[in-house]
Amino acid sequence: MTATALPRRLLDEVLSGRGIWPAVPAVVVLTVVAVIPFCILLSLGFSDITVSRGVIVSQTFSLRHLATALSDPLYQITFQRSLTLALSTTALCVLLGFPVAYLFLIGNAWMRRIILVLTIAPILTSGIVRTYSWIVILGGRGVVNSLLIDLGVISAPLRIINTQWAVIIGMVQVHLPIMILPLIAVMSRHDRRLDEASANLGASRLGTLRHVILPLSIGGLGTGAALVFTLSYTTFVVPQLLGGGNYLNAATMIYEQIVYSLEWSKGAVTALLLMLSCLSVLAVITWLTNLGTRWTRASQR
Amino acid sequence: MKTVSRRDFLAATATAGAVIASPSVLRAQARELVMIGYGSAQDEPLKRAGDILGKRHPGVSLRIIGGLSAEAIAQIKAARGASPYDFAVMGSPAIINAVDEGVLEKVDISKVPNAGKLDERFPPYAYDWGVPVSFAGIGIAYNKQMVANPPKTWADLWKPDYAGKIGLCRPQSNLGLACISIGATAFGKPDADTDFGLAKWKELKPLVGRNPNLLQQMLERGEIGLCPLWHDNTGIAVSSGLPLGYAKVTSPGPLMLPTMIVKFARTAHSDLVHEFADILLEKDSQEFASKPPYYFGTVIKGVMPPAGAAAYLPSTPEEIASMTSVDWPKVAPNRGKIVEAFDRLFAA
Repeated sequence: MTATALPRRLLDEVLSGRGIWPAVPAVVVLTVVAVIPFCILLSLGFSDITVSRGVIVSQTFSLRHLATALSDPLYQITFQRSLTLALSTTALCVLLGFPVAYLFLIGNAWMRRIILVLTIAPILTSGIVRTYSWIVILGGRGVVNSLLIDLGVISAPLRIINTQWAVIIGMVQVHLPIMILPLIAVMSRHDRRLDEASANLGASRLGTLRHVILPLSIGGLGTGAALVFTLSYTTFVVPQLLGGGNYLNAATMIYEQIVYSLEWSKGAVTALLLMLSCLSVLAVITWLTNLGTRWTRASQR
Repeated sequence: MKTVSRRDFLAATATAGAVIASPSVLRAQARELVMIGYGSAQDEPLKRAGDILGKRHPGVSLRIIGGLSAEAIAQIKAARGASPYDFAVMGSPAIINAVDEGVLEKVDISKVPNAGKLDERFPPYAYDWGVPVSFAGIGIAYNKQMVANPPKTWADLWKPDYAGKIGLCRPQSNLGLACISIGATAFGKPDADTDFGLAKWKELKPLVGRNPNLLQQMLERGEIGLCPLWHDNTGIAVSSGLPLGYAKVTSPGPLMLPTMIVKFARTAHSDLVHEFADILLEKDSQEFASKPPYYFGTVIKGVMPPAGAAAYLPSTPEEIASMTSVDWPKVAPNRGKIVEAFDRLFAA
């Protein structure tokens, strides 16, 4: 093979779009913007660093930051809060999202279009704008308080904003489409003849929903729950805007440690704990999803 | 019809990319100064000075990026000292933090001729790293519909009349940091006794705003009745017709924080930064900045703020004489620890 033949062959192979080449740009981008920075950040979590003129001048291995984080009550409370928040959001999204997906399944073409538009439209708007709208709705002089005062239910405005409830409401609204879309994807492939067979065998609508539709939707539920949990657990904007200044979750904690306290080692350890705990919950969700779909897979063998 | 091959497609894409990127490349060839500003209406005096600089040096332009100084310092640290910014407006505590991180380069006062006219009270707050161009007051902003008689001293905040109505800014901002210190000094403790200050604030069970702008919004929405706030934030809110008032509180104070122009290390536009600072210290610029709604405090001798500024800035001889600030070198280096202590007390 001549020296010029190899680059030529390589170029032809790249341009042919065969093999792994189509994925290479994405892999390179992900490696450069996600994997390498995250590895650098994690390395800081296991070292004591000295910075001078913005540059790290010394870095020595240390488990001090990890040990401190694991024994610090502030970390425990913050992670507990983040976990509660993410699980509550996921559960509420499942409860609210499934009926919408069911409506999509049983509705006519118009109903399906409306549901799709209503689900996708909020995603086209910035999450910050959607979160800010909740400040207008839930604020001291917002729609909810004004209505309750006008109806005579309360005499003074309720404090809704800057509470955990405001954060949960905002999170559910922001993440609900992420739950509905995988469910819709599953529902749109659902074979309605199974429902008819169920009805012919004497099952009620509720019985069909419980014994036919729900088990066949477990895959979508699992995917949606995993996505919603991950986004809720690591979210930053909603707690910042709706939780008030004394609401701290793991993501805001990392931001403060890195940006305001400039303590990168602490931030790196918190990021590591966040990632590991998130992966643990995702593993449980995956296990539950597999458990719920084992009979489907068995029947496909 | 000729089929478009992958090779043609790639060539066309590369050409289109070059055409799209060319304005940015050309813009980069012109001299653009990038600075950290306020990210709000307070940037107007800076924009005006940038326009003057652009007229003096054709091709020079100013881009103002809004945000807290602390965020800029973190970005520069993340970029391993390669600052994406040339300079910034920074208060004393942020300067101390930036110097600790080694991201600043000293401003050469000899290249800022108008600095010779500075009121001698202000340069010490630059710690030889910058040049003061204005000052902001820290007082108590209050919602007139919720608070009839605002506090006169900082200790008044702890009176039962204001219970359940008070807001506070997180200590990552200079305002929040000053508040924690005030919690100590108002009760005879030193500025650096921030543990005492935090404990005193905890007694008030305040609603906390993440930054001064969000705190101001909480006040506007009636979620809180009163809070420590910058005078310029309050002035801008009042000018838009909101029912807010501002109390120039004493003991300690009236409190102020000088704002300095500081230069980031390795800027390629050092001379232009000095000239920009000099423009801001010109009489016209000082008068422009002291106009409503900003009412920035003037730092040049002989330039007096307009009459309307008396509601926000020290105006009587007694107020001017007792004007003070926080002992920043004792407080600012502990910002990280104070933020963590704050979270342990308020967020845990």
